[in-house]
Amino acid sequence: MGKTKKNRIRPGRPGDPLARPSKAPADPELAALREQKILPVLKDLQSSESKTRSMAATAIANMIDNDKCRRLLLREQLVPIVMQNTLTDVSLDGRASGWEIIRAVSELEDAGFCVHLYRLDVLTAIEGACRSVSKQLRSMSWKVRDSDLSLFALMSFHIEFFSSSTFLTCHR
Amino acid sequence: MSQINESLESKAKEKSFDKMTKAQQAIIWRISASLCSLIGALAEAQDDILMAISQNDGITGFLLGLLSREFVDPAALDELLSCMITLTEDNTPFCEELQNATTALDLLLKQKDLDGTTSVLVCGVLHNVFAVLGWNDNKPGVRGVTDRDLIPRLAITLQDYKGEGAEKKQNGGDWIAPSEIVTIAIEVLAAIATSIQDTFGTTEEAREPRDVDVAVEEDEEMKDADMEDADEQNGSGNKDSERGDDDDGDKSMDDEAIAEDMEAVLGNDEADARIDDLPTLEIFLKKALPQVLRLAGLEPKSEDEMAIKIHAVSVLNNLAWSLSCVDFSKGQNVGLRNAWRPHAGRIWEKVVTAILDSDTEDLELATEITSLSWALARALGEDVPLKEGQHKKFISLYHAAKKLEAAALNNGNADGEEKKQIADDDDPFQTLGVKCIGVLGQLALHGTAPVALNRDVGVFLVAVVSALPETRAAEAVEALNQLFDVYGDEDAACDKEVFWKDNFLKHLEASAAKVKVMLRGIHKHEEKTRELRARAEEVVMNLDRFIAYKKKHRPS
Repeated sequence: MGKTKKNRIRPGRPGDPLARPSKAPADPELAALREQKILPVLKDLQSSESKTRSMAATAIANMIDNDKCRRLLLREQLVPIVMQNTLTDVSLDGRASGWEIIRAVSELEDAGFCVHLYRLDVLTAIEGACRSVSKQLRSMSWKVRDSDLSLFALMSFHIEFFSSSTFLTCHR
Repeated sequence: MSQINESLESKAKEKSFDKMTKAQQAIIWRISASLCSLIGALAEAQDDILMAISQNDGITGFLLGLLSREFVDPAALDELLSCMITLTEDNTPFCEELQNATTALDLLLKQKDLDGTTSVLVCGVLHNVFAVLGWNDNKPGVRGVTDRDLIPRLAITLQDYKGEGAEKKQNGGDWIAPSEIVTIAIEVLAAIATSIQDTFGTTEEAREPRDVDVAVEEDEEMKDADMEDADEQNGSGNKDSERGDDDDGDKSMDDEAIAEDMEAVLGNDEADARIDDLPTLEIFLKKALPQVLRLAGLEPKSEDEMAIKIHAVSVLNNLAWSLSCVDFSKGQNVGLRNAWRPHAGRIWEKVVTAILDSDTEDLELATEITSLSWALARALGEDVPLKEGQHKKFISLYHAAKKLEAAALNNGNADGEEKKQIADDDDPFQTLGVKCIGVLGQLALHGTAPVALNRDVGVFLVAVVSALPETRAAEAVEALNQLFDVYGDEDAACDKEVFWKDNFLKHLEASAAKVKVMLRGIHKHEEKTRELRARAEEVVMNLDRFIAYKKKHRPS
């Protein structure tokens, strides 16, 4: 299985056919939308100003439900831009917006989009984020309540265990 | 990509979760919810991706870690559980990993009894885990848990569903389950209804064992045709031909066994209905069935309600097929059969009759209800509470099926669900047409079936075969198999009254060549048509033998 997996992964790279500069759509309405909204917001998403990036991410999240906007955004390389920039943003909030954008698109598009993401090696990015979040959550020690769990186990299921614990407590 | 890791990890080192502000904690939950949703969507998209995800320690560690937390942000928790439902389905390595994550499993077991959405999702995850690890009545899992422990919670969710209007009017009163959650609850019940057959002990492996049984029976009968004189030696074959096909008065079932069965059935109906050793079925019939019946009886006022109604019928369908896989001819299953038959009769009266009377034009609902009828008829035998002329509804449905299927295909472009349903029907034996033929054959099979009914069905089946090449191959195969079953016994009243009076032999002889042409048209080696090809080959062989047998047994 490991082998198959490796063969199937095709990391997104500059020479990727998906990264070719796109042409303006023939439909004048779409062309205008692309010029006025899509290209500027994608440019902002890659801005050096953290605030600009954050506002762009919010704007994209708001327009993703619109089919025309989403199609144009995808055509203009939304996914590679988010994967290469937004998901590695120095601000935690920025990264959260990046994940929310990808998630929203995956919910609106069909399974083909997820296969596309997989080929762009999204699992590596997900794995990194998972490890990072896991680490942060683990530090929240007071919330993982092993003691509560065993108490629960005692009360609801293990009467024998319960009596033996009581026994131990008595001795203490 | 390693950039991402580094950046995330260096960030992670900055602060521990406790010291973060509430706003920052909220962001972590946002990321968690997005990740879970995305992982679920990816896993659903392709099996390869599902495998890659279950083998990725970073990802599975994150999911199981979240599951082990007493508190998870509610939005993230629901995404997590939905994702877990996808990941645990038929996924042994991942379920074993979850089994070893005892804290997570303990928490899930605890959460299953809570109120609301979360507990339904938890039940979905747990059912998948139980199914994969084989935890059932025969082999309960840790703390003795099985599907039995999930059914009451799911039944309550069904009970809480009050239909479209109620959902909107909800204002601080009782919790009313929204349709998405009810749908998940019904889907889990449908899965439980299928895997419940693993608790019966003596079950057939096949989902619809008819495929197997028919073949075996035909072989026995045809052997008779080939070596008439060796009839007495055929005793050893009886066991096989009885298997699965319950009480259809099969001639190979000896009279003693029939008498024994009848005594058991008629003797002490309710008292003998002993299923204490099948706690999952017992609680399913007691708690879930009444609610499922209620939803199956909905008069849908919206698409959502229609979807829920169809789902409810499919729960009944799965349950009925699970029970029709049981070998009722074995003594120890008599209690089970007696427990099931009153329910089966009631389902026929309340659900089948109502939906048939409504003349539904919904292909999915029609397919489910016909499949359900077939399974019920197998269990009920001659006791099907068939209304006068009801069998004609199935004949009309067969003819309507062509139109419904064409309409559904056209709608398919606009409606993703409908399209998917057609695609799922890749198995040519799962079409509405085949199911209509199946249930009709079953209804005509019994010695006590009125000759008029038998004639309607017989003429219909012969016409289906004669209509080749218009008729689909799978339908012709099923129709021939049903004809062999119904008219295999020259002592039955319908043999003389219908088969010979209506000249079926002549029609079948005339169709024999067309059946052979049909066989030649089915790919031999293609994966998709392999089963169809095998069954068509069998049917061609059996048709020749059947015709030869009938000729020799022409009534004088």
